[in-house]
Amino acid sequence: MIVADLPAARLRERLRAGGLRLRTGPVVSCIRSPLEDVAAGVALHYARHPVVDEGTFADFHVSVERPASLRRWWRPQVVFRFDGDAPFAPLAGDQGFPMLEWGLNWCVSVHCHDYLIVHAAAVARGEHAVVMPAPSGSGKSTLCAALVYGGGWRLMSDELALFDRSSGCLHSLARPVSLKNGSIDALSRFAPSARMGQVVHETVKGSVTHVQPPEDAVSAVDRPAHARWIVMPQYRAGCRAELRPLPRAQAFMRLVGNAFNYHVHAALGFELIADVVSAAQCFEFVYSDLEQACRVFDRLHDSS
Amino acid sequence: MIRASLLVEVMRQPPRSAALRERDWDVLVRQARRTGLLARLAHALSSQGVHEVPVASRRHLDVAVRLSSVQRQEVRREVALLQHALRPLDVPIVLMKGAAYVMAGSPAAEGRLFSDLDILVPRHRLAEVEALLMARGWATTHLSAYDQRYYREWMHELPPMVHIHRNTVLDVHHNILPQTARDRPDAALLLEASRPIDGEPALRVLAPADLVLHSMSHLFHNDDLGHALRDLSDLDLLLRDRLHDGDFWPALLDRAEQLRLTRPLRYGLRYSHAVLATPIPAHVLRHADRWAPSRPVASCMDALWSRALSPRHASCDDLLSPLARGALWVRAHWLRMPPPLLVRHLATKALRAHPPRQRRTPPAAADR
Amino acid sequence: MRWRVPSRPGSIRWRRWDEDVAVRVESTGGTHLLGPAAGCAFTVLLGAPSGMDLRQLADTMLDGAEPGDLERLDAMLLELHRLGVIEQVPA
Repeated sequence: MIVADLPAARLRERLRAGGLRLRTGPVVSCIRSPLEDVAAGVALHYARHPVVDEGTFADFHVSVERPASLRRWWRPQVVFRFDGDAPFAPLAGDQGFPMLEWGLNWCVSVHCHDYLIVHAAAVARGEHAVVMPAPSGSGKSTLCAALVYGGGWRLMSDELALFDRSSGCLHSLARPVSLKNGSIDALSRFAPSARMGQVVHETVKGSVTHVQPPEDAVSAVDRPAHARWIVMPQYRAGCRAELRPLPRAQAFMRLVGNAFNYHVHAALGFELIADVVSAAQCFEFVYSDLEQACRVFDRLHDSS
Repeated sequence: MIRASLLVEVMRQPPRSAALRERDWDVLVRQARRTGLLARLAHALSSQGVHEVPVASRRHLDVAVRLSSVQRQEVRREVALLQHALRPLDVPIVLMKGAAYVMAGSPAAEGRLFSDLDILVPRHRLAEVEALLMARGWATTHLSAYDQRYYREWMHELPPMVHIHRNTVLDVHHNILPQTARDRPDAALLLEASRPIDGEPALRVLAPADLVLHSMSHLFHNDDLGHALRDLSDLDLLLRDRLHDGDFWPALLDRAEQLRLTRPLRYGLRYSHAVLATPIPAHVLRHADRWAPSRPVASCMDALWSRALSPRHASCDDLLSPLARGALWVRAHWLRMPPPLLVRHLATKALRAHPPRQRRTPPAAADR
Repeated sequence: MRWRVPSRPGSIRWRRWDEDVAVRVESTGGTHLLGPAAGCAFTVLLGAPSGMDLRQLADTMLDGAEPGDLERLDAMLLELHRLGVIEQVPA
């Protein structure tokens, strides 16, 4: 059964009561929330994800709710809880769904140490994947969204590249892609069919929305991929889309620097990232036009 | 005592996990994670030959074990760097708690998560130690005048020090209980009895009985009960490690009197035995009971502690649990400070906007 | 003073790509990228388990060392030592 199979009332009932358990690749999350915008967000973005029985083990129990204080009613806020604990300060009241997404990212990055987790986007064609480690402001999410919603690539994750400790393969989460500010319009123009949720304004980083993961991403979520290309994207207004070779040693250090849990993997982490880099082609990438960018990636894929 | 939680049941008798359904494992893992005992649970299961663990739970247990192992390695590194930094002073550095367990090869290091490094140094050398640490990259924290006074004048330690490059935290103590506590051991006795570590002569740990008594006094005087069960589990392992040692029990009882720690000893033995089934000899428990408080107080304490020593998880709480924790928090402060000071301290803490741990924006939100 | 790469198995892990060498030092947990000069010194020392002194290293790495070169090399070796990438050979 997938989330879309649940009638709207049933979905909300589950979210309010014992929690909705859904699977995103290797992770089962039990989500609770009494908030309508969270329910609407889940109904849209997780429509195609499998619902799991309530007797099943859930890796994470999370909730998004109003704090138990005055801020429940007066200038209401939302708080993310991980099994009762609130790791973050509350946010303003209409940011419930973004908060859920950020919270789920946190859960994975802080707990899933069976993977080496890099702060990067990962998209695949067949068995081969591009990994895009992400400094902020690089335009990684916009590029990821374009590649996935019109560029012919399969979404693995826009935030968390999960490298399996033993095999070095990438594993997919196929969760919604988050976009902010100018990227929202840019993607709407480039891929009008991409389904976006509510735009939430005045967050820490401006306006934020999420895009529903494509069908092929969810249906292929259990297919691992090998990192064939490491690409460091940088949006630069007016620039022609261009790949520039990056020395492997630098790609290595960038991956290490962007890894959430490198220190947990110690020597194995070093060898894993070194192996990934040795087997991949490494580039820096500048772009401004999404259409051009997609064509460059097509050529990259075809030339291998 | 209230009904034992699933976590406690399984830790006492790991083979009982064979009867658990998937939904039970879900609760068990959550209780363990909340209490900081996930790695210890994994260790309890494997050391009792229980290898049949459902795959989904196994993942989390394995991750916790790996994390514990990585942290042990980090403790060793940090201790080596500390020793190197303090070498010019030729001052005895006595490791305590987690660092002591690791460096002395104690079973209490198994399945444990480590955060701060705790050391004990002679009081009269505190200023030199602090100065040298600051010169070698450790910075003091809690910079408000109030907090500085709290630590330096009233507590038994310097404000925590953070290393500027490594971000590791060091707590430098000159006793195991605050200046202001009513029953306070003589730190000189602790230092005198400390033992060098095999192969690391510049490092010392508290003598075995003192390590146990420190664990007890820490647990029963601590105002942060979030990890009470985990601390009790450490104590259980320390005690089990001494079961073969016939001289240990009489020495422990004598030492408790000498250090004026008879009340924490009595609670430590009682609750370790009651909750985690530590096989303490009956005559030792009887002897320690001489130091019990009056009957009404004793049963009140039992009610409070049985709740505080449950996993800190919604599945284990009853209606009284939050009250129990509140009462014990007040008691911990009561024991640490004389009443007039206590009122002032609590009032100040409540009034100041004490930043809770939560003041972080979600990382993904900040990083975009 | 003679220098060498720490000899205990597992104490140093390294990978080379072209002229760059990435190194992980077990004792500190640190991971470092060595530039061409440091990478070269490291590679030379890898080939000399009994160690080399400053002069020998300079002769191997550079075709005829100027006085300024020796000073710079010495400073680099001290930095590598501080990071735990190389160690002194016990007397």
